[in-house]
Amino acid sequence: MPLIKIDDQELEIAKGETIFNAAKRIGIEIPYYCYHPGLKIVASCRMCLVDMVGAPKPVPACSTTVMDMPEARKVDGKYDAVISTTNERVLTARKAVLEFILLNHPIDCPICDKAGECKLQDYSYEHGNHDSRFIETKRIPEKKDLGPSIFLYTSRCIMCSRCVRFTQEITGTEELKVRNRGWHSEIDVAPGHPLDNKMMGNVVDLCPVGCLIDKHERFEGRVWNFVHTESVCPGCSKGCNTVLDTMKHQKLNLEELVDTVYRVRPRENMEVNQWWICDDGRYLLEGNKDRKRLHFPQIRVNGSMAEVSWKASLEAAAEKIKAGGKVVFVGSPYASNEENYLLGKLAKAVGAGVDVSKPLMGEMHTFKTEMNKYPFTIESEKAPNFRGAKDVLGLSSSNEEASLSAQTVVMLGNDHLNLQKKPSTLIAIASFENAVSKLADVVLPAAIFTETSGTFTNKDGRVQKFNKAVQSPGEAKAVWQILVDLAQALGQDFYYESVGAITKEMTEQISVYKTVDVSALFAETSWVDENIIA
Amino acid sequence: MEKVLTKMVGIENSRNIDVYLKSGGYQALPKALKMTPDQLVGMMKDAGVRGRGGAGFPTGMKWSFLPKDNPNPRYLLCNADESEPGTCKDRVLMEEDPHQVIEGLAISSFAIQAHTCYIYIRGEYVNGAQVLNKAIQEAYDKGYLGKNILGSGFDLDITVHRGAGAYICGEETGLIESLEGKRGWPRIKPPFPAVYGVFGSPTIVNNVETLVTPVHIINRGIQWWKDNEPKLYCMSGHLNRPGVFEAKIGINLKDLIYGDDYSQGIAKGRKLKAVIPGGSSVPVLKADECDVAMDFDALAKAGSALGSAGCMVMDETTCMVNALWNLIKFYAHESCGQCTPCREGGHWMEMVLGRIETGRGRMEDLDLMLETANNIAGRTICPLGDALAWPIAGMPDKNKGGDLSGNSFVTKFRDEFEYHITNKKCKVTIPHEWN
Repeated sequence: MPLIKIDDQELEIAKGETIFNAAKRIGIEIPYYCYHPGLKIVASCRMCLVDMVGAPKPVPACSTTVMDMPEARKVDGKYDAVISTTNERVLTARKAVLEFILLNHPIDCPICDKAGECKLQDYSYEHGNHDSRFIETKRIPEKKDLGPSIFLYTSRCIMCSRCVRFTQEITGTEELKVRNRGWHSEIDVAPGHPLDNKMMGNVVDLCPVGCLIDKHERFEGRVWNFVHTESVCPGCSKGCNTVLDTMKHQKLNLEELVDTVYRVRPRENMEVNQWWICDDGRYLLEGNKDRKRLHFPQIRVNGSMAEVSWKASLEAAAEKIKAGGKVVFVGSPYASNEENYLLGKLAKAVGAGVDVSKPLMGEMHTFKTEMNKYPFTIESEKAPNFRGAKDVLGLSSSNEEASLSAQTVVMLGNDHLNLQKKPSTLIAIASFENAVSKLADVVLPAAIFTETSGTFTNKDGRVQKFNKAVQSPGEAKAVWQILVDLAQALGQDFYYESVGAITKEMTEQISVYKTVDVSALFAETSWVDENIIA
Repeated sequence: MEKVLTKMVGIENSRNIDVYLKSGGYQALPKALKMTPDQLVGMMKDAGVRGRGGAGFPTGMKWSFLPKDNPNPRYLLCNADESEPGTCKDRVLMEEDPHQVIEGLAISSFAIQAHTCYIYIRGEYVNGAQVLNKAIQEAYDKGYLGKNILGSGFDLDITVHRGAGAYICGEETGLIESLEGKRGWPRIKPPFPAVYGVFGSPTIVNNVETLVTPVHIINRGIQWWKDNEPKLYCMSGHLNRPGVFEAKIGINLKDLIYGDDYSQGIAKGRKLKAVIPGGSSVPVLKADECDVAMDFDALAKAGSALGSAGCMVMDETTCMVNALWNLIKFYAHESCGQCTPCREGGHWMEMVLGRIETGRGRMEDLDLMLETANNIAGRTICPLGDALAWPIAGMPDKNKGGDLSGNSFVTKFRDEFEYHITNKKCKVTIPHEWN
């Protein structure tokens, strides 16, 4: 293995490992724009140039590897390469690249959505010139509408070509192209072929500057106001890791501050989603904006629904469950393991049956290209936790039709269920007004996945935690709290301090989950970026 | 002096295969096919042939870089994308003596064991492409190309591919990308084309003139080649007789300009001012530096380069600011846009020079140009960045830690640049008859 020295630190590097990765391993950050671990290396931005003893000119760290040198060519008798990332030659090169990039950049940071998390801003502060020597007129190309959800602020582009490589290598759709040559180069789409695929949102995350901007997020918030929370996408059974960026803001006619999820970003997990998420998951919460949330508990009085207190609704529900006849508690592939586990536990305690409803099925979509080592698949099972729900409820499949014919049904979640025939008594724990809640006798308003914590088990059996990012609206409560309250109304002695306590009990009780490390799941996962100063 | 490379030029029907055969053509090919490929590569090494495209890399060494254990087919690419301003030697070879080129390609292909050869010819050489295609057909008909050439069991197909008008596609990896049907963006090296070239296979890319050399080395021997190495020089500019001339390599530049066999002096009896000796990307020589041998080493010592041997001669009426502006305009226009320094820096330099030329220059612009040239050269994927920076600020200098020496337009003719900036007009006045 070649022995190298980077800035006075000695290390051995593997064959084929780049200087960039080696430096990263020992904590040396080399600035870059065009490099991305998931894309082909082009070494065109020239930001990562480093100085190598013996090389006639600076070399790009992102593409340069080191070989075992013959004895005669070793530096200081033992190093296969001696690299400096901070000497004068490197710093001049970096400064020059930044100067070149900024020649045409509009420097419109005050109105740019990327400001605060922009690599060009960061590196300019760190390595750049403070004054421009460019007194000519800047080239200011027009903003372009690339497709249904992306704008291209052409003038901000630094031509790193990450977005172009993404559509070539990851999605294989090849919508984005470089048009023209040299100074006039621009990213563009061909007429009649807009950027429109199920992963296009990723190009916005890929863009190191504010050139590609998501129409859903444009002018909605400033990044330094965000709180970031680790989450898991509930869009399908793949279980992509995400980050929810939330922000408090004042809604019209409401006095207190409300926090909302401003955007969903992918979180790197090489074993699940690599660096990407699909647009179905990214814009999942956008779809909820048009739907009516249930804010207060309701019970059916003389055929119509009336909003009541939690106490009254829970008592009504308990009375109906105790009324006799066959009772079935139906779990949900959309609810967390903890919620389904608690539902099952409660059903067992009151002597009722359990079941789980079927997930919504959709289209499976795989992005396969020659160059992509990890083809990205959007699963056909459009629910995050069917496998987990079955595991914790001890079921092997759904028996939905039979369950719905029971006398009394307690239904968890299940927005998509289109009930043909109402069971005699229906108690719905639901977040949105839907077919089930409209027919229900008792409606208990529940939090959605962004408003509570828990775990989902993806199709491969990977148990992943999502975290509470925002508050529930109105009087809606987390499902596990509703179930604990319902248990108490039914005379059961259920008490849990937090979701973590349920997870702990669940991993002890459910044999397949015995190996799950609870402490790892419940590490701190919400943070504020303190590097950004408001 | 006996003409070797340009022997056929001027002969009637020189493009016809019968005329070529009559004058001793296709004699080297059968000899080569009786040798082993390794012997041929060794012959090129022994003869010390250096690439004639610009960089002057030893050809035999390049050929020996081909990996022995790669199962993919090998390719020979003939780089006929002759786009360097001031260079026109390959055009003469292809248009006047296409069979010499084909014979050279056949020998070279055999030497590297390639069964497919592409001639990437620049799109503007419509005539050249037609002539080559016709000649290739003739060669197929006579059995010098195709299956089992001259009964040796060696197969070779040659295809002419026309470029679409981009200077960058003359850079070997840009050429490969373009040939593959992609945007002509040069690749990062390593891997070099010899290992991972066109279609991911081992590939050798050589200039037309380089690939012609084995014909004459085989016909006349290595020693003859070492003693009489012929080279084509493209003389252009303010000369009595501009054109492509064949001479022994290392001929004095003054002889090329003033010699009766060559350019016969500066036109209209004017005085010589400057010469760009190797295509527009190399540093300029002042009149008093022109007593120099035109070979790789001597020109490198003089602070310039032989490059593609495209000699541009400028007389006393030339405005050096305008000349440099013109050159940089070309490189800024032809920059592919992949790497930051060349894309942005090239056009910036064009703008700065435009300002100076049109009377809006500042004194600090001169140092700005020298510094920026340094920030472009050696910082890009392909040598276009260097080609852009060297005319401004000279070749890299080991004594300056690899920085550019500064010995080119801006320093050598600094008085003219300063005159432009202070007086907002040219130092040279163009005589009446030119207008």
